[in-house]
Amino acid sequence: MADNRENAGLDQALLERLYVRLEKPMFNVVYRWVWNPDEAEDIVQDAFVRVWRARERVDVTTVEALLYRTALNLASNHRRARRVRGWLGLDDVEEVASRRPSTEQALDAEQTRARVRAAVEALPEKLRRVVVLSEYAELSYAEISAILGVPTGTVGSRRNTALRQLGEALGGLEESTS
Amino acid sequence: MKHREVFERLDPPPGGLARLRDRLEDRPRARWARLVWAPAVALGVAVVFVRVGGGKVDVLAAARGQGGASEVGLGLSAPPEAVVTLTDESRSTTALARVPTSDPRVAMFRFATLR
Repeated sequence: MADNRENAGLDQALLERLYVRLEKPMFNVVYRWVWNPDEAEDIVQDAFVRVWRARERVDVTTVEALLYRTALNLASNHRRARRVRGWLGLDDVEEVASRRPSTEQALDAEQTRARVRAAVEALPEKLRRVVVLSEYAELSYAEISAILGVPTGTVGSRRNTALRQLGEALGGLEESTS
Repeated sequence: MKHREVFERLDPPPGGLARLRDRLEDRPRARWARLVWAPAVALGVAVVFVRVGGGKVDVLAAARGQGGASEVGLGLSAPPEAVVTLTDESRSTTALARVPTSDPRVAMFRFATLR
């Protein structure tokens, strides 16, 4: 996961290469926190901008873990803020209804997404962090351990627990290959 | 449910890298603006400190000077115990002065009477 250009410093070219490589997996992770594609993209970019601003203090060998950690924290904060706005009645509707299913197939896909969302949302945050990083970003236990600051054994047990709970909520889950 | 259905990979909105570049380039302007604003704000704060620090303010003396509501607010004097009604007969033994307030909707009067 770490870039091999040790001591090279974080320059804009390296940051852009990281963005090209990490944009999609990070987007998929953050999306499972905020469930809105535009907000998820904003948060991923915020993480890159924050790391860029702190580039003098950034160790490029661990910058990917830092980017994921920053994005996860921003996503959690965003989620909490949205919940507060919801309590205060400042948010109209949490759900973004920009995509309207036009066919029966699309409707099925939407229903599946809604069920998955409910199941992922029901997970405790520490389990959700692990399973989202392992399944949506395809990160290894060691990489997740570096991001979350927990031992790899804990990552494994949390992932297994999370997959079991998801399987129960979704009426069975086909065995993961990773 | 199949694993790939549950863990579907979505594509982020297009044009992300261009937007990131724009955001990264915003920074030097913001830093430059801060260089201009920071001394201006610091100067403003310094002026306020100089003005305040130029002469020590004795809050109690200031309240006594203003009298009325300020004294009552600081506990230097007690508020009137009963409602006071001014009548034509009491004109020769009472004095009424309006106390300035910062809120124009609030009117305060200082009342004194000769016994």
